[in-house]
Amino acid sequence: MERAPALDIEPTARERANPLAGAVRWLFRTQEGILLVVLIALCLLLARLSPVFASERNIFVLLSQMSMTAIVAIGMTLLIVAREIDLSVGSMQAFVGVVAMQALNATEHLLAGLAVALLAGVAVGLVNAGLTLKLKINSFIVTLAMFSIVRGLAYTFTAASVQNHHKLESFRAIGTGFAFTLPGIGRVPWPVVIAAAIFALFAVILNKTTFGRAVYAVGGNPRAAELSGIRVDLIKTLCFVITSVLAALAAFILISRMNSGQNNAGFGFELQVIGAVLLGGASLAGGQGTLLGTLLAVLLLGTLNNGIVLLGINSSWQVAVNGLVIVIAVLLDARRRRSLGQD
Amino acid sequence: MKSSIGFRARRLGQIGALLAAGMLIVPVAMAQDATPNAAAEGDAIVRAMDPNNLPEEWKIPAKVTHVTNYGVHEWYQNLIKGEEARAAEYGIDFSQVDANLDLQASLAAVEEVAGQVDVINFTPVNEEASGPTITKIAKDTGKPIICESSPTEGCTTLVSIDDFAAGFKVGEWAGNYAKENFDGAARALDVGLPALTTTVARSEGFAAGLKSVLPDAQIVASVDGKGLKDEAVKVAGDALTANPDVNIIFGINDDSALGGLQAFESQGGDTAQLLVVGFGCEGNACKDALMEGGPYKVSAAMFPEYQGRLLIDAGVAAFNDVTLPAHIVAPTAAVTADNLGDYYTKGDEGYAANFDAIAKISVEGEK
Amino acid sequence: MAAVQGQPGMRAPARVGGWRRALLPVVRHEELLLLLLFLAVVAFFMVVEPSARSTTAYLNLLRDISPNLIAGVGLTLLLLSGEFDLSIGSMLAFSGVATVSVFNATDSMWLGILAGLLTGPLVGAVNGYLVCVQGMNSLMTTLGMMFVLRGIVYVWTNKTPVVDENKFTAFTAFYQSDVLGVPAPGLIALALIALGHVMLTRTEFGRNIYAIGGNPTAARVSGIAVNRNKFLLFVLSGTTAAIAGVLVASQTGTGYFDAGVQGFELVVIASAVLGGVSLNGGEGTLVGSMLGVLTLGMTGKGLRLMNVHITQQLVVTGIVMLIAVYLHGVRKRLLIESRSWEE
Repeated sequence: MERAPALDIEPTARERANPLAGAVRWLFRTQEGILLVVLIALCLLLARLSPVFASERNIFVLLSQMSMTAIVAIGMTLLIVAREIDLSVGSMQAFVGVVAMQALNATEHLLAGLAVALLAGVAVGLVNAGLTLKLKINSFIVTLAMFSIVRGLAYTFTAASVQNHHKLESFRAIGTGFAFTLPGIGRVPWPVVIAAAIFALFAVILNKTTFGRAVYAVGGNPRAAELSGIRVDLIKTLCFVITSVLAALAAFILISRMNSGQNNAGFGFELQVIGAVLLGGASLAGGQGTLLGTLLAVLLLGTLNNGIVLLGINSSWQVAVNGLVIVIAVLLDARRRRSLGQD
Repeated sequence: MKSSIGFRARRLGQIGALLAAGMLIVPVAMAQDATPNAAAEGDAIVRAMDPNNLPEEWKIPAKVTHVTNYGVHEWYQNLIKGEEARAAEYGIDFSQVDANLDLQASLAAVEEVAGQVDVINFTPVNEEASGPTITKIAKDTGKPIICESSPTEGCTTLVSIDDFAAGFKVGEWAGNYAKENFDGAARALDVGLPALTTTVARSEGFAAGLKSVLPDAQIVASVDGKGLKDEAVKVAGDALTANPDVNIIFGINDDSALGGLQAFESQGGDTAQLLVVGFGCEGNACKDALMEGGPYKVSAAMFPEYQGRLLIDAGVAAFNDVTLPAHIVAPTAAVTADNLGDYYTKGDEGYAANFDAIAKISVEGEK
Repeated sequence: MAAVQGQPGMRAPARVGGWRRALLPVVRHEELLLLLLFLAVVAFFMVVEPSARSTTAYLNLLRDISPNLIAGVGLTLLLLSGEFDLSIGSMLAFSGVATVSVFNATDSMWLGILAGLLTGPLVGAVNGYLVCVQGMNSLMTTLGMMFVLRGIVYVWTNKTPVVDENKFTAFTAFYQSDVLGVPAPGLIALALIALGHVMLTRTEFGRNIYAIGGNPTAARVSGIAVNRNKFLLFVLSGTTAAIAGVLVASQTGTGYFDAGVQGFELVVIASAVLGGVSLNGGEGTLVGSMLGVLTLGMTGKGLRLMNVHITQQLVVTGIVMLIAVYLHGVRKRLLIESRSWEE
């Protein structure tokens, strides 16, 4: 089974002989390469324009904030590769947040709160999967309905917010504490470490395991996958559950950063995540996309928003510039595909 | 609406009591002519209204509905509680319809309720964009429309705070605090909401109040926190790295202010050298934070429960053709750990508003 | 589906009895199923809520929902061809702001309306160019355009509504006016629906839309100018969204920067899917899609009339959506089964 066919083009003999040419080709011919080039250019530009951009403090603030988007985008990549989608991850930031904070207040135990959050994630994921696969309703519609239903549940659960009454030190550390100090670089925040670990874990799962290959097969050609003995529904169910559980984990980090569970958290978060995944090169037609592309896209969009605030640009521009980046990235992708002779 | 059956049952008894009270007590004579002072008198009448002591000839509206713009927000929940309680005192059947920030739904809802109620209370999703519909409904039905939050064309009157003046009060307080504790240095971050005129006025009022005490004070950055805590944490985080020397954070609501505080804490800032200024103080989050004694020291309290009461009272007065001013200013105060107890009493079910103390707050010169 | 309707001589054989046979008309004619669903929703609200029994309630519904119907016409045709337009919510604001800004600049009502309407084909052509000429994915492109347009509106208006300085009362009165007792915006919607329906069912253009959506490669092979047709559909979708935007400007008397920001595009797409339009293209009808708009609109209105709290409204709307789309799936399976009854 081929992985991400559009991006695995065999290098020519000349490129094999000259690794530099191969690297240049990767940079300008693949979605990941283009994103990396744009990201580096943007960072250089911002470093020139703003004295604080390249500071240790800003880099880690930036990475901490992006870690939640990155964590959910990892799950969403799997789901989109498997040709499904989840629009309910934004509402889950609210629902899981208030439920988990309530559980923390009730038990005064970090792991109990985390367990409740993750179980809520499993539950929503199973409902999404069940409605999509058993009742055969398009997942766009299922999760759009769940987007509305889960938000409604969050509103029903609490009047506005669940405040932190347990005052657990370890709870605050998850969102705002530092895991360790990297010599020469600085203190690394916990959210960044968690996101990096999850990225590494799923990079291995997606590239080195039967499950990972099955995800690409299911999305690329479901019928062929079924004929070759892959249990399509099981793979898709796992992808739904993984996405929801990662969304729940992100919600847990979010409530630690906010120090409260808010029933109005996560508005528009789903579009942010899906936008990043698609910008990273995944296709809604399934079977295509890489975690590296997703990660670079999350970094690019996050850096852009950070830069706009650092430079004191009117926040109205933020919306337009974000849109423009998406359009340009998709345009570059389309041109690349055409130059490679793919439709 | 679970409580509506209970409402109706209680209502009969209340109307009886009301009639009895009306017969016993000689009503205050009220001028109804259109002298320039009529509006001022109307304002005074609304502020002094007592459900158990109304003029004999007054009629009570049977049904009042409030079309809110964002009912899940704690502000509206507490406002509605205030309206419900006051409506029950009059024996009015009160209900709420919410537009959930959807302009189309909001305007449709006003049209829907117009035929069924005697008084409409209305909070616009956007005041300019609601004007034509409200004007038309007011003209077609002749029913009083009491607006909340923002002035809208066609409204009988507006019950709301003076956002600029309230911002000024906490700005002034912050200036004095910085004078005493920060050697007069004031570098403030404004976590604002540019999409609404009311919230822009709050930020402007705060800046003006701060500078009235410390002319050299600076608003080093204004960011759009969208009024949401998660968004506020994010944008305040970015702004604080660009301006690490910020020592005052102002938020246009409590979520914005508390979000700014979380961003400051997560960057390892020294909270002893920080003052956080909130706005609204409608929920427990603000009141608990004030009492905790941390950097969150002051908030411009808007007293939603009391405003709910004013809304119902204004509706009853308008229903009886009392001439009302264009704007009935609801009171605000800079609340701190020291004076919160004057306005709210903490009980088992959160904080209960002390209406007498709130009613005594002067709104002199506010508009 | 269109092909099935056209099959001559379809009769239910005698040996298939009971409820399945009784269901046949509904199974064959999707619009009938949707009409029944709509009537069921109406009947429900009539029973439980006295204020839902008046004729005015339904005339008002037609007025309130007219922007969705109008924008839904262009979007449905586009969806049938297998493409997306997520920029219609931002279009609502863009055309409204353009209309009122030109009012103020030229002091001419007609020039303003013209300018507002022209933003539609303009933005539609940009979308069409990017997708059809540059070969970009339409979902991503229009997601980007959704942000770009909204951002332009924000920067342009600085997030304050553009007030009509001339106070053109003829313009603001139009939305509220009635012609022969029917709301004027509703009449525009009905006219556009009729036009779209004729175009879709009686012209070659319409047949081409189904052919392209059903199988683009086959359509191309059979000589249909796929890209040219799709380009026209993007222009059409932009145009109907612009008409809706001008109507919203008439309703609000302002160019409202946040018009449609509460997920207008998602509501219209969900309505279309609820009305039987497949997101893969080639399946569904305009009439069905419009019944979908009415059903969702009536659900919202009915819940408001009943004073159902917004938290429960969210949950109920989500569930109604799921039921409707589930019924489509059941209908489709019965349709396939009914073919075997005849053998």
